[in-house]
Amino acid sequence: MNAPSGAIDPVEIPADPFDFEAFFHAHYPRIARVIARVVGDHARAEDLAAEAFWKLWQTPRAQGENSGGWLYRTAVRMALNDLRSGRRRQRYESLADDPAPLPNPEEAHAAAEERKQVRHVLARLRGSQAELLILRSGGLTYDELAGALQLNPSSVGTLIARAQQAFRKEYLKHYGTP
Amino acid sequence: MEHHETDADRWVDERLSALGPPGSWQPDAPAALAKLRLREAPPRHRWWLWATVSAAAAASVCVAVLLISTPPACANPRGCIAVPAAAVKTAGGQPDFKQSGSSAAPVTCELFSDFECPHCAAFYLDTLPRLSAEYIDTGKVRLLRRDAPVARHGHARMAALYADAAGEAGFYRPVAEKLYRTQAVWSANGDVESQVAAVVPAAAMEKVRAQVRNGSAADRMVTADETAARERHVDRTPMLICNGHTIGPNLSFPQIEAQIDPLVGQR
Repeated sequence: MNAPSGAIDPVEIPADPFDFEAFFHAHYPRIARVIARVVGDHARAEDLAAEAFWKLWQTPRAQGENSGGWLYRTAVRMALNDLRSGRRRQRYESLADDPAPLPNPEEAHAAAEERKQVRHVLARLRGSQAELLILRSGGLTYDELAGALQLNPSSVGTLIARAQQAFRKEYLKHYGTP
Repeated sequence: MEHHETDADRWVDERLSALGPPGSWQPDAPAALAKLRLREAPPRHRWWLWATVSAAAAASVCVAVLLISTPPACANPRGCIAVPAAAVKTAGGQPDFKQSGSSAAPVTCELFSDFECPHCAAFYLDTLPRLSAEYIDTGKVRLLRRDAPVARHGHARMAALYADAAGEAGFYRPVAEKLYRTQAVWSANGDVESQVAAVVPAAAMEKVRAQVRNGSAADRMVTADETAARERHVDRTPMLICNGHTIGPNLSFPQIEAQIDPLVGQR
């Protein structure tokens, strides 16, 4: 049966202004890599990246010109929440998130320890500062950072400097002079 | 000072670089997109299997169902369920998006509701979240949502069609919540579509509109629910029926809890 006649006015169906699939292919790898650097688990990073895209898909108001910024902001927050939850911390250390083979067990252990410390410090920073540092180290430009975190582009440099100071202070507080 | 800050920048960058270079790993985008597509689309093959079986069963039972039916009413109460022109018997099947909870749950409840019924809106927005948290999410209850549009509610069936069409596109829950929250608006102006479009992305909304205008799947789902309502003698909405026992229309959570707990304990 069709819908009751007259109940629905015939309307022009506009062309879809948001090509989700093209957007997905353009951003997914980078989003997943940014998350992976935070959570240290590639499979988990892919799950969280997919979840971020799912949220975008279900949030029509986020779709459009600033979708990229919305997505990076959402993704990095999800990654930090996951990191802070600590639920998977045990796995971080057992899974291979090493970017490259290391020459000996001592260096491998030192590198793993360093990653653990950095993630611990990131998890303790104020959210906005951790997000800024993660996205910056993920390769986003100042303009991209401003778009993603809804910042005034002219203040990005200052905010990065403050975030770095906060990171350094927190790091030294917990681990002393490296 | 400036030199010191540069050193600090470099020091922090070095620490963060321990997390690995940004481009050192290649995520599997096609696999992730395929998973999203699966998540977006309900498993249609189950729906078509169910539809085939239920259509065969419908021919033998629909006349009897129509004969024994009595006019139901919203608990408000303001009307009765529209008699479906071509009833399709449900064989216990519901599309996945209208189900919640584990299929292994000891209690299966059917919730018959009308999007235009104020009591249904109150139940959906106030009581159902608690029922979900304490019984559905904990594996005690499996919930089947069924549409029981009341005839005197002029836009209730259209709302159900939109909700089910949105469900086919992967957006049942947000649409159902939106329709209940904005019930006073669309029940007054009849513009169900605008409310649905507010929570469904443009591309999916195109499919929803087409489904409501021309499709038969959403209509079959609503019709099947209406038939199920008649079979279970639903005469008020919202109506909760658990393991065949009528828990009652328009009950508070403590009243529901008092009746469901013994059923959970029976298994």
